[in-house]
Amino acid sequence: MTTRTRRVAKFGIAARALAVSGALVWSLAAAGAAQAAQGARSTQLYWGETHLHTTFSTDGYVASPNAIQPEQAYRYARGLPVIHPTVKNRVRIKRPLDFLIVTDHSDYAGLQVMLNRNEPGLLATDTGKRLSELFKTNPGVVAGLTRGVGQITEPQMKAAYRPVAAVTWLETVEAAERNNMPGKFTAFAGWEYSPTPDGRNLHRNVFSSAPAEALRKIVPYSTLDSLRPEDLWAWLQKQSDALKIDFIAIPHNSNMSDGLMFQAVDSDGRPITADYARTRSRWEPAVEVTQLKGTSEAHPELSPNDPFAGFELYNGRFSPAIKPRATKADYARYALMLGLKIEQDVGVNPYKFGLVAGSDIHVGLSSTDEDAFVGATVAASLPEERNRNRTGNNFAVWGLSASGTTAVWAPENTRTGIFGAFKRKEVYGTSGTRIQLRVFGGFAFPAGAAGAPDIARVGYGGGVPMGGDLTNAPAGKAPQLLIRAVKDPIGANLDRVQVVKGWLDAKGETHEKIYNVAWSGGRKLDAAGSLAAVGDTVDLATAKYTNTIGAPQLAVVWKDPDFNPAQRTFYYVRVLEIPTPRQQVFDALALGLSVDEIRKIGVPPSIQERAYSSPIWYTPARRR
Amino acid sequence: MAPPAALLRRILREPLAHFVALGALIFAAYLVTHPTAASDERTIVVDREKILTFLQYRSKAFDQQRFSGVLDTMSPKAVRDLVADYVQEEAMYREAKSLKLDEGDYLARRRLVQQLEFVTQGFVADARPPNDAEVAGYYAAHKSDYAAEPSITFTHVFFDRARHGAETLALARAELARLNAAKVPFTQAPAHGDRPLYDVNYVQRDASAIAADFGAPMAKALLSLTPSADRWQGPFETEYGAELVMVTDIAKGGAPPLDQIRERVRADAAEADKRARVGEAVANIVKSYRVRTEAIQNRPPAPKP
Repeated sequence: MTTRTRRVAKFGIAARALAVSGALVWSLAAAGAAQAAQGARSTQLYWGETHLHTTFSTDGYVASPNAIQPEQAYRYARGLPVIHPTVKNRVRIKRPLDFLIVTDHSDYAGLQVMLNRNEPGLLATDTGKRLSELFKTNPGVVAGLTRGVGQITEPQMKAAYRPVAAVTWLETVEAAERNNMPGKFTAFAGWEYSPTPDGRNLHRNVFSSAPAEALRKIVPYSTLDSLRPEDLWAWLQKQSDALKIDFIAIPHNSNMSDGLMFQAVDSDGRPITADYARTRSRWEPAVEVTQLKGTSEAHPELSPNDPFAGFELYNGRFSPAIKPRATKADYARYALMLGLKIEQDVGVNPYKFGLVAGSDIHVGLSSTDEDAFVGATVAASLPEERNRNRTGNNFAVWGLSASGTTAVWAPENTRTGIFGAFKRKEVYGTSGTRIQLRVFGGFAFPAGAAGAPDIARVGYGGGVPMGGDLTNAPAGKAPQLLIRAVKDPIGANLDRVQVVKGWLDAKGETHEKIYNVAWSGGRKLDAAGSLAAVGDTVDLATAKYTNTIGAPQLAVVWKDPDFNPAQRTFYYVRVLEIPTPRQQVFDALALGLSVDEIRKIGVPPSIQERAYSSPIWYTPARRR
Repeated sequence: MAPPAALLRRILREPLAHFVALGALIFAAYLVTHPTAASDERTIVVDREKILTFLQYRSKAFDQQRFSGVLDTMSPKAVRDLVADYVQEEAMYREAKSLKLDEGDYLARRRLVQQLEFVTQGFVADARPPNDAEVAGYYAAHKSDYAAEPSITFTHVFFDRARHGAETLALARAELARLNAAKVPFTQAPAHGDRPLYDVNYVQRDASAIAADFGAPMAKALLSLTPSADRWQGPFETEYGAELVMVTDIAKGGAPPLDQIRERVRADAAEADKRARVGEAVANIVKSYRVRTEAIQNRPPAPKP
């Protein structure tokens, strides 16, 4: 690939010229490949929510007839109007989703809802009756009891809940069934497994591609069973064997794990073995990289050469005793790097995962648009509440992010279609914006590929999509990434496309490097490979920005200039938008705060929203 | 939230917990030999050390330095609350002790047993690391613990039965001949066939991972092929259609030579040795007791043969 393809393709004369030359080259290349069966390789882009709580979660319970249960959550995601549980006005999603996984906490799921309707199975025990009494006088006390705080012991709580553990799960499964419309909208019933040993977050969202008849036979695994992720995986294996169904578990908020999520050791402190690595990568092909409680990609203290690593960091922890600190076990990038090292040592990479995102909203209404953020919880849904707290560790604050959407490249919008994309990691996460991002890895993309009219044909025909593996590099060839990023159709222009490379050297040490590979208008890389900031058009007096800077589209074929075929390597792509106003600015303006006051809130008033692709790995051929 | 067993495991892994346990034992001994030290049993003395320790136990994390910082930045109200909690716990604890509530409590009993186990471990911990001969002996005896599954590297060309129906296999056979005649290389696999359900390339994956995507029969068949970077092989039938493959590497699996993993084996051997000596120490304690066993089980008489 020459200098031409490394330059920016922008809508305009240059892009058209590129597109024309690309089309010519491609039609020639395609003629050769067309001999083969050359099937329907194209994939569609589907947008979804992988992390959403409803009133069935004990910490999302709303004592209101308008509380959002899974049924209403799916309907809202499909684009139907629903009633907001506290504000009680009619709300409708700005842009419907293509799929939704409802993920209520499996520990005591639906407990208050069942107490509220006097569920017979719950009232059959003495503890259940006591719970019911407590609930009637003070509904708030129940959430504390599920966390082991209060007058009913943990064993008593468990014993009372066990008989009704499946009740709201079955309702979730039925709601998913009613709202699942193959080809139009995919509804998954899922749950969140939420172990928090010593306040350190090890949470996972779990979902399955299985039909309702199989899902009715299980009761979601929870922390009532065990706090060890290994035990979750063993349970998944057991269900999978017994019912012939498949699951995916998505770890999230590693940023709040205080060094636990991505370690070199297992839950007992023993070094990771091939078995552990195989099991973990089997069940956990994707990790949530951003959501309302912050970003888990990387940390500026650990990546001092990445000026964009300090994006939407969250300093809250589940225990006030935990002081926020930056450890490599808390962020996805370093886990990907550690995975290369463990693979070298034991033969299997436990941290071979794609990157996705979810909102973690506890109101049942998926919402990641800065100008329409509903808040983390019902208590936090009102701007005046957020203004009262502003920053800090609770949920009613402006420090939380209107973040987390997953994009999926799949042949069709069905449960098997979406699930398959997660399995092969052909998925990516964004901070809520809908940047369209294609990434393919290969060794010989044709000249002009970045300008090809159908980039998917070139990419699928000559390489592997994001989430894939490269090996057997032809002599003298380095991996290329074919990348095309297009702005959110109703969103902001793009600032730049970056490749994040991680690798393992001969001494067994890991490294990272960030390359700016495509960018908008008129800027040049300096000697160190850095690029001037794109600018900022955000007007805090109106909460508006203009697309007078940035580019609607950036496309490039990038070739690794520092490739060493003997080193285990991964590449993922990060796409940055131009700055746009952050959610608190809309609240603040509505509340009548002045521009000066908005600047003093303690949260950046403008942010560069972004997309994170899943990685492509290069593995050297084994020495024999 | 944490079940007591898991919590205990975590706490007991902390070196500080061992230290505290040992300290508690010494202190208990001191109390026994110096009864005046505990004479004012209705006075609760609260100082920085006690509150720091209390804070760490409550947070289930042990880091003196970190929690010193936490304590010093807490608001006066938070500190007052913490002290009040400590005083309440201490007062209730002393009352419970005076009522001898600890004697019938199984959890308290288990806790004491575990404390002694850790004290015992502390005594046997500092042995010399095993030498090369011992490591070799350990490796020979535990070789299967280090065995890897066979793994394989290949790319594939897929023919989708949903598209081609009964023609699928014939189509794959014809394509096999074409691929080999045209010497299509590994990296050009994606240009042929239909879009695969899962990955394009499978790099050093083991049999169970292959079986998950292609079914066990194909995984088994693949492992019996001879790797060749010049030859397409197949077709293999799967649940979804037919597959042609180019296999470039098969690793047989089994245990790697000792030289490659010597330090890992050394650590394991040291750990096993330590476990054995702890077991011995515990056995010696048990042996120092006379045991008289009386009837334990009530059973129906065994059926006559």
